[in-house]
Amino acid sequence: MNCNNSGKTYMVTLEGTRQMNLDKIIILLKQGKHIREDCVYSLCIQAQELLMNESNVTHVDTPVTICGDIHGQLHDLLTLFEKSGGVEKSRYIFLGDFVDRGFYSLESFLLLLCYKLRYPDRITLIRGNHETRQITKVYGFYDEIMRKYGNSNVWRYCCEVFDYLSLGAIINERVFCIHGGLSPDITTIDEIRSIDRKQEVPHEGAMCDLLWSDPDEVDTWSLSPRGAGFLFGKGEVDQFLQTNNIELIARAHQLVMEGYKEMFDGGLVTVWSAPNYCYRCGNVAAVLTIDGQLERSYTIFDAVQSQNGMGHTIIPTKKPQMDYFL
Amino acid sequence: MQPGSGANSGTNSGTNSANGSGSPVLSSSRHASIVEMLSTPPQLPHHVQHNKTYHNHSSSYSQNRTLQQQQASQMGGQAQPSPPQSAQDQVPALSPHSSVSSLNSSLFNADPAKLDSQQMTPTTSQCLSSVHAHEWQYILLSQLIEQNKLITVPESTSVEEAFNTMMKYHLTSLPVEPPQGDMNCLTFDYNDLNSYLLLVLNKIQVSNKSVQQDCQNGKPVPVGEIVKLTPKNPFYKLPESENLSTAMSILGSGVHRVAITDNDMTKIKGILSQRRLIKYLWDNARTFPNLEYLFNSSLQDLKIGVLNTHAKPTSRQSRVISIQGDEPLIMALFKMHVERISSIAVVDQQDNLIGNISVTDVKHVTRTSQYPLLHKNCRHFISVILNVRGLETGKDSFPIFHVYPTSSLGRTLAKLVATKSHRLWIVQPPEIGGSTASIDSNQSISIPSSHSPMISAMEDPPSPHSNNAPPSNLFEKEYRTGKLIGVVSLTDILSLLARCQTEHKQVDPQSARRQRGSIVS
Repeated sequence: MNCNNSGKTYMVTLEGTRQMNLDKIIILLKQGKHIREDCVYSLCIQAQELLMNESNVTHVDTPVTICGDIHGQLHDLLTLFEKSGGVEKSRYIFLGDFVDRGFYSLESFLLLLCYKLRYPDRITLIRGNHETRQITKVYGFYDEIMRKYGNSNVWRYCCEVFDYLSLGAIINERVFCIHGGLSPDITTIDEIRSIDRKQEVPHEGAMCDLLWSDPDEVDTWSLSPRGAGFLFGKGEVDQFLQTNNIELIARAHQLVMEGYKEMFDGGLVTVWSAPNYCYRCGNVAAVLTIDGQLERSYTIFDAVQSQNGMGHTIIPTKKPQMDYFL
Repeated sequence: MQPGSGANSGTNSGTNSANGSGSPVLSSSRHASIVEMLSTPPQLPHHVQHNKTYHNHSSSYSQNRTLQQQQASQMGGQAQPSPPQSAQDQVPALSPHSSVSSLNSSLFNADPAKLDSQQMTPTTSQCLSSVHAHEWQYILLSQLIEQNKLITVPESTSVEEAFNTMMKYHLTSLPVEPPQGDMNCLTFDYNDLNSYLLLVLNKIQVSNKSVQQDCQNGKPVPVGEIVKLTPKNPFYKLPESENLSTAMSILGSGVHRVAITDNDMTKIKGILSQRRLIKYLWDNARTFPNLEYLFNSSLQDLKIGVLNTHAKPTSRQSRVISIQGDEPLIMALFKMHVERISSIAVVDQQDNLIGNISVTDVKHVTRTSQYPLLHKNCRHFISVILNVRGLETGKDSFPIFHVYPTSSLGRTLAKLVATKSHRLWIVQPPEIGGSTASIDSNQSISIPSSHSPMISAMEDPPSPHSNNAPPSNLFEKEYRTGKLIGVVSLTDILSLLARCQTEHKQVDPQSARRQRGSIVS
């Protein structure tokens, strides 16, 4: 299968050929180039078959690098790989929220899918609250696809893949990774394993909470101002750590200006990997590396300039000539 | 709930399993009890014991001790930790911050989000809970005021400057100083900004032709002229010696805020908004046991906000005014102006709720660079609103804030306070697979396994020219929050409280809107 426009067709039968084609697609994606719809379809089908067999909570070994929200910031994702060794050399866990808001949601997501297909044991993708139909309809991914393809098929294919993403990961049985946070419905990690995850994220219940909740300075639980999930306090975190014999909850889901933020005596950390969020927040991004001794180290990185070295605009920023009050 | 040593004791609260297939009953009961706990008002500070008189189930109402006994035990003002003595005590106390801060919070034109950081002195708390132990109606408005600077603008201010002031201080309304300290001032709010915008775009006409021309010619217009153009509710003023009951009757009629003055009514000391009042009542609800049975009742039992599609809405119910997602934004703004409402629901072709647009969102279309948004569709504007909101807080929110007809008033209030919103949309829980769905829509959705779901996902041949498939197919039908069937607003709740609990039995939640001269009756 050929995904550029040269007009030739390859049969995807040989493993070697498939790898070669994946490599070609990866090159195109990194350049933000258009991928044909049938090619996206094929990638999504393959990814689905692979992800289908993963458990709700994937086991991962150290050393591993944990990455937070990406939100379609493709060029910053490339920086992330550059600063942390790349998939060829390091293991990665991505905590979800690959799409929405940034201008390259599709390319960012497909790149990660390609890496998953190419190096299935080196990269783990878990689901964020943005990997749903309802959210992507109103936070940008759907609009991006309509702009780039004129119809919503590619959006539908990607949403199908979202349904198969794992909900969490556990590193060496000691570090628990989830996109949002805890749920009143869940006391043990085992209980997460019995959720039927292959569906759109519901509006309430355990699966929703795990992807929507936030840590906060509350006594126990509180209703979330987001309108989904809960706020949970130190007591709940300590209890969860103790019950499950783990030492850290690594999560994303919330913008952090410094890239990462530890809370509750280091029992929980928020990792955020989209620098200069939405091209205007001015924040830095971070990834967290856990080494063989379960030691933590953070790598901080900045956003790319909006123009590359040759003066071409990478990020379409609005520069209105005149901007008056109506 | 039954006594037990921990949250995981086996209970049979009889709620649905919230976990879909295979989850232990233990956890779902714990979930249910936590959700119920959050649907009842927060614990107060300085309580000696957990409030045994406030139960989650109306059947236990008859077992209540009187609040008086309880208040007597707490008058000493000493907080003593008490060991769990009964099942109710298993409910952990929520953070005291939420209830503490509101008592001391300023009701002036200040950002409510900032107010929660203020700490309360013990004196005020003890004073309030001991003096006004029983009846919220008789709390004096003076108790709720804090000295703070009141922001106003002179009449001559241009609309643009007034708008900038509102943005700077995070206000939704701004009193406009009339000449010579005349107390009959009007306020400039986002409804006026909306009218101004529609005037500039020549979508509406007003009787003052010179103002109309100035708007269309891009000349700055003084805010004093704009506020006179469209009918407004009078700027109600109450002296601080008045009590909450009176404030409730006004706010329950659909007026969004009242001014609180000194007792001579010569000086405005602050503003009391609907949202502030609701938060105050919620945070302090445990001192007012006469609210309990109301909070435990469902919205449909209370007949507020729920639209019975088989009957015409009564004058007491909010009519749900909505717009299709693919209509242009300018139509939504026009509809809000014509109907004199502050928020409009955005739905898809099957009447499923996508999101909502409030009149305050006009702030996103005030600059010429934002002009193209007016002709893009409403669904796109919702993404603009949500994106900006998520950036401001660092947290993306769920696109709609909703409840069900079976949700309790307590749950509704808890969510209103937590999300800081003025209304919650009432939706029908979606039916899954033809059978009646539970309120928890967390059931697994069966996709036909005879072929790959991807095939059913491919609606159109892969071509850049094909149109979007209609969303009525199996793929998308199940993935909605639900059909919009009603809305419950702060007005609805306050009018209910006023009618049920005060001497003002005739409070009509639609009266303020009628006064504003809604063209559609």
